[in-house]
Amino acid sequence: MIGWDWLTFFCAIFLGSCGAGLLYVFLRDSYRNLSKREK
Amino acid sequence: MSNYVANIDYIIIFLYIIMLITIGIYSYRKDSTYTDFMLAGRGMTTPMLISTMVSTYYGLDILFGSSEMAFNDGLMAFFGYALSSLAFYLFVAFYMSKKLRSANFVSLPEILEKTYGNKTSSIGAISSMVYCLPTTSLFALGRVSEFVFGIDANYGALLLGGIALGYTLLGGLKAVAITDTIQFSLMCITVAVGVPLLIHEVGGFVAIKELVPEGHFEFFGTVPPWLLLAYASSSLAILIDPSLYQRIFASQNARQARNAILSATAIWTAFDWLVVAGGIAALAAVSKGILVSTVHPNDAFLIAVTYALPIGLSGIFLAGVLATAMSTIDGYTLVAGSNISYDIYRPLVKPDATDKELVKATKISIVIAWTIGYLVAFQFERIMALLIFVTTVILSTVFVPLLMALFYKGKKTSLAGLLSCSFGLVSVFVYYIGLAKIGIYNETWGTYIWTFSLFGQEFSVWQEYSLFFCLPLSLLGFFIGNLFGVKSKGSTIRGGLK
Repeated sequence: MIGWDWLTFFCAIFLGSCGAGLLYVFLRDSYRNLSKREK
Repeated sequence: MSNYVANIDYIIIFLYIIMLITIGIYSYRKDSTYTDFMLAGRGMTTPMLISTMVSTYYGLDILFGSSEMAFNDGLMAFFGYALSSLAFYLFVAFYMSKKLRSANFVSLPEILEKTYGNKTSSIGAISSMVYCLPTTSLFALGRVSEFVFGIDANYGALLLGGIALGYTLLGGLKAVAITDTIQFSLMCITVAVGVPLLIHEVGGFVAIKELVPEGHFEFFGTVPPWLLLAYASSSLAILIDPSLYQRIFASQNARQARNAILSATAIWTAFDWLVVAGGIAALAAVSKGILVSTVHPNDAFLIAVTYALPIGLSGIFLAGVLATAMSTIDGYTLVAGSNISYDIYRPLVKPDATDKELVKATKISIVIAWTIGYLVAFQFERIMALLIFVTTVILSTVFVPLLMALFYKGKKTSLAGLLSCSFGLVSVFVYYIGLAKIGIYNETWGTYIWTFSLFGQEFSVWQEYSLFFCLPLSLLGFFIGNLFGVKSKGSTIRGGLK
C-alpha cells in the first residue's frame, strides 16, 4: 500500500461513516418526532 | 438490460423508487404556507441540512465530469479542479452564511430586489432560473437509465425525472430534504465501498501507477495554466449558487448553516477524491483488459465500480447513482420554480399575492421549469458545454451586484445593479458568439480557441476564459451606474444585510 491507497482508505472510511451516521441520526430524530406526535 | 446488473439489483432499485414516492406522499400538506413549502418552515435539522446540501450540489454532472477528467488527465481532476472549490465553500461558511441567514430572505434574487429594485432582480431571477433548470441532470439520468434498464434515455429521464418532479410538487423542500438524506446516505456508502473494491481489483495504486500514463500522477497534469485558472474561477459559482442559498435560508440559524457547510465541505472533498481515484482506477482497468478499450471515459467510472461490486451491492450503488441525479433534479427544479413565481411573478405581476396563491404559482412554475429542462436536455450534443455556458451566465450577471449588496458599504444605486447585470449578461453573449465566429473549434479540448500574434508573441483566447472579460465588465457597469444613478431605496441595507 502506498500513500494514495491510504488516502483512498481514509476518505472511504470517513465518507461511509458520514453516510451511515447521518442516516442514523435522521431516522432516530424522525422516530422521536413521530412518537411525540402520536402521544 | 445491462450485463453488469442482476435481478436482485433491479429489486433494490425498484424498492428505492417506491420509497421516494412514499416520502412524497407522506410530506404532502394541503394547507402549507410558502415558507413551509420553499424553506421547510426554516426548521431543518442539521443532518437534513448537511445531506440536502451535499446531495443537491453533487450531481451526476460532477460525478461523471470529475471521473471523466480523472480518466483522461489523472490527479489534475482533484488538485487542479476539485480542490479549488474548497476555498469558496469555506468563504461561504465563514463570511456569507451569517449575513444571508440573519436577513431572513427567501431567494437569491430577493437580495437584488431589496438592494437595487425589481428590474435588476428580474434579470437575476432569469439567469438564476436558467442556471437551475435540471438540464444536465435529466440528460445524465437518461444516460444512466440506458445503462441500468436498457431503455431509451428520453424515456428514462421522463420516468425517473418525473418521479423527482412528483415528490417535489407534493412536499416542496421538506420532501426534497427527506429524500436527499436517504439519497445522500446511498451515495456516500456505495461510493465508499465501491471505489476501494475497484482499486483492490486492479491491484492497488502500485499497479495503477504502472498501468496509466506517467502524466496522470502529476498534480496539475498537462493542462495549460490559464485553463486551470479558468476552471478554478468557474468555482466562483459556489458563492452565488441559488440552491446553496436556499439551504442557508432554510436553516434554523446562522450557526447551524455555517456548521452544515463546513461538514458538507469535508464530505465533498472526500467524495471528490474517491471519484477521481475511481476514474484513474477505471483507466487502469481498461489497460488491464478488465474493461473493454472502447468504453467511453464518461461511463468508465460507472461501469468499473458496478463490475467491482458484488451482486446486491451493485444494485445499491446504481440506486445511489440514480439518487445523485434525482437529488439534484428535485433541489434545482424547486429553486427554478421559485425564481419564476416568487422572483418574477410576485414582484412584476402580483405583488399582493397570498401565501396560497404563491404556493400554487410555484407548483405550476416547477412543472414549467422541469419541462423546459427536459426539452433542452436532449437538444445539445455537448451537454457539458451547456453547463459551462449557464454557469458563466449566472456568474457574469449576478456575481458582482450580489457580492456588492452583501459586502460593499458605499452607495448602491438601482442603476448600478441594472448596468452591472446587463453588462455582464450582454458581454457573455458577445464573447461566446464572437469567439465562435473568429476562433477555431479544437476537437481535443472540445472548445473554440482564437489564436493571434502581438509584438511577435502568440496568444490564445479560449471560450473558457469568458469570465476574465465578463466579470470586469460587470464591475465596470456597477461603478458607472453608481456614478450616474441615484441612491436606491433598498440600498439602505448597508454593509450587507441585517
